[in-house]
Amino acid sequence: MKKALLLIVLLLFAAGCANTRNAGNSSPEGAKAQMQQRGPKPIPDPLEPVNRVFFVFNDKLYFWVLKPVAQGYSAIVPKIARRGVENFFSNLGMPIRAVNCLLQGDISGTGIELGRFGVNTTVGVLGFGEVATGWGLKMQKEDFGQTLGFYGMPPLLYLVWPVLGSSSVRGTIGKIADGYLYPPNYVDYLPLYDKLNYISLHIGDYEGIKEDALDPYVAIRNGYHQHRQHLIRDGK
Amino acid sequence: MRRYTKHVVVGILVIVAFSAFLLALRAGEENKEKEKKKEMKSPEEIVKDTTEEVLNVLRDPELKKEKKTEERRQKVREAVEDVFDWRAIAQRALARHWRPRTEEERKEFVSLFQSLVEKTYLRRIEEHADAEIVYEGQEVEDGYASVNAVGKAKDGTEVPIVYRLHQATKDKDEEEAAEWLIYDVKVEGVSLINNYRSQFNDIIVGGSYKKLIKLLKKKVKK
Repeated sequence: MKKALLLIVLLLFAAGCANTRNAGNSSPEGAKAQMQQRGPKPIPDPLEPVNRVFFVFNDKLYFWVLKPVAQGYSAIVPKIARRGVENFFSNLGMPIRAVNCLLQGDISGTGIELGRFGVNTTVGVLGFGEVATGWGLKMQKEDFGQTLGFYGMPPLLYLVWPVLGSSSVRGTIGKIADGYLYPPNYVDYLPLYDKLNYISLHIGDYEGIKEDALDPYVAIRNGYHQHRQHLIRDGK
Repeated sequence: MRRYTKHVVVGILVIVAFSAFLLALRAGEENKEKEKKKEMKSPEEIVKDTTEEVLNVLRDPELKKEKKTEERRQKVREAVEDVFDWRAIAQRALARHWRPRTEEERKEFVSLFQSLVEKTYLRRIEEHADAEIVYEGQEVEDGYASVNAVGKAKDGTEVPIVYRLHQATKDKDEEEAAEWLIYDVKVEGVSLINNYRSQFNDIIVGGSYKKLIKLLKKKVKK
């Protein structure tokens, strides 16, 4: 059932976006044109009032619950171990990356991901160690939201989900599809632990963004959008 | 004998004067070469040298002491001051709201925004003083350039950074040669100017320019 659903979602969007591929994201060529472009168009945000409510909710959730819990966890588990756990989860994200490389026609990317998985799972001991990067096999940051963007689908709307945070219509569809390819999602509470471990390694990031911003909501909306567009262009 | 001495003295004087003249000439040329070199510094060299200077200040054990925080910040500020085109940065960040501003308002805005960016930049770089920065080349075209770099933290995380520069004169009234100046920094694809532009626009459209200045002042003071 789950597989069938994934297939339907995939086909729908592959078909729907195929024609817009060239009309969409036509990034101007040449260094000068690139330099003068002022970045992506702002992401539409008609749901801003609702999004802002969830933004405040997530903010409080972070400072009142997630951060203190993550700090307690950090006090017990040393950083090296937490890095290992992060590597372990990241290694299990291989299917998402490999499949989405393939969907974007990047066969060598899929090969690199498979190679990374082989190396990190064996030499890296179940993925706790990240050896592959040192061997020249760099992680291919791909996901289904990027695949949709690659075929010309715009993000449509900016969304802030409670707990999960910044996303878009495109990003949400991508996350749901990718969810089926992420093994930890099939084990109760494991994704929660993944998140806690992640937060413990990134305490201070959110605080920094908030500190630099005049309006943190707008700063994060813009940062989310720019970063996603950057990933879709594969950093180009 | 006396006559002979006189000749020698005059001869020596002539030689000394001539060598001095030659030396001066050479020194002058060397200076010129130095100036030329400074002018001809490539965008990548400018970014590299500035970052190196800042990191040296931050890594200086003498300046690391708690008491020296202000001195350290001042030194970093000095290193950074001349390589950023603050007016261009401010103008691009205000975008369509720049034109209606009077010259006085513009000057005030440039200085406020400069303080904010310096603060942001300083804190960020202080957090990552132990990172290694690897340069991956530059692209130059028609007075615009981008310098690509990767910040590598000790724990292995890599962050792509792109510096954008343009050739400009700092002060339009003065006749000086155009130099490479940084007008934007992109970290993981997020342009600093673009990010602030979206915030400024939102605040001005949803409130007013006055509100923006008030918020900026508050942020800088903190």
